[in-house]
Amino acid sequence: MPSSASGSAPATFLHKVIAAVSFAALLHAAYSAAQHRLYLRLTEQPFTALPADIVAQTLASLIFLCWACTHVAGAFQPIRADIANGRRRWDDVGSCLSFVTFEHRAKALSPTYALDSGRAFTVSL
Amino acid sequence: MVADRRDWTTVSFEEGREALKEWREEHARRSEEVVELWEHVLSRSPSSLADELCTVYEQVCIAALDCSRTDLAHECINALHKRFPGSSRVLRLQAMFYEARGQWKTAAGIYEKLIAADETNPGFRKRRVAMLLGQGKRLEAIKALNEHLESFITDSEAWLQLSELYLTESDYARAAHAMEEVLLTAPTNSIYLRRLADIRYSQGGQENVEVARAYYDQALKFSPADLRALYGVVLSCNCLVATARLTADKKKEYTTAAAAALQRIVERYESVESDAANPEEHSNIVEAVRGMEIH
Repeated sequence: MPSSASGSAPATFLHKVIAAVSFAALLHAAYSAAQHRLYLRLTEQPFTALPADIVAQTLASLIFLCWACTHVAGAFQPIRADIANGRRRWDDVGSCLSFVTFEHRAKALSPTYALDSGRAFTVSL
Repeated sequence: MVADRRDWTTVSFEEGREALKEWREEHARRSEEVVELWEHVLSRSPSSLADELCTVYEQVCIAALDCSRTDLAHECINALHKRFPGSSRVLRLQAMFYEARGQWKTAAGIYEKLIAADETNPGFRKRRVAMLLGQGKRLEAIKALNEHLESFITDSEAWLQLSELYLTESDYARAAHAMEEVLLTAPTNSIYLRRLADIRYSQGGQENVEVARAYYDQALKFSPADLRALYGVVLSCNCLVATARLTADKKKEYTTAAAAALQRIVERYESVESDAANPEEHSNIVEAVRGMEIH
């Protein structure tokens, strides 16, 4: 079974806090970038690049968010490829119906057994 | 699941149709129930089946042959022949009809014609093998099946049948090999894994039981609630601890594995305790299961 990608520690409160904070920081950086562009449009300055602090905040919050999310998500689960087979029976799975033969005792249960098989019953009294 | 044991004469048309469809997909061999369903429920209005009509006719025909109902089988074949004259599928049913009557030469003739007409269809060659089985010629059937598998190497149903035939001959080694070929086509199927583990365990010997334990573990990974695989783990671990030459570490590992599996078995039994018909017997069973633990 593969071990967790992010190490063995399960999600602690710290990871959840970091995830929340970095997500908020990411949203804040996006909002700041939008505000910056609005400011530039209002002051009629050309837009060349975002200010360094917004870029730094975006990248840093993204990295922390990814790291914290892998902890919150937890260990890998195996792929449940076999769900349907849990309810199946060997009688059905191993039936191999392409090879079915009719030479079995159920022949005698048929109501027309004596006529079909050409064997006539003789009842001696 | 729609198809449980019950009186099929009183179900509705839709339920009957659903049940037949489920059995077709699962490859269940419930011939008496199929015939009962057809006669009491579905044959009243066969036209309502529309697209499914011919597949249902085929299914009912084979079920009728299984129950030795030659009249019903004849009726189905006639109906299909009217719909598809000269179809090879209908001819195959005709040949199976002759097989069921014991007229092997006639059936063999039809299969030869069908194979000559379509070399690539494995179904007709498989029926030839089935004819040998029907006549009781098991060794020849095994030989014919091996020949068939040389040309159709990915036919997992044929490998499965071969495995079953080797088991009837008590040839566990070859049965295990055939089962492994089946597993190649469906490696995550817990039922095949468990079956292979069963065969390996039956072979006996330290190596085989260790392999069996590994396969039981793998089956449990894919199907964690599989009771037979849990029992398999317990039995193989007990067997290894009792009879094999192991290091102390390995012994400890097997003992804990067996104990864990036993715990899961007991939990499963206790989860159905409330539905138990006989509570005293139930507690005896749980006690007996606990008694399997090695100390």
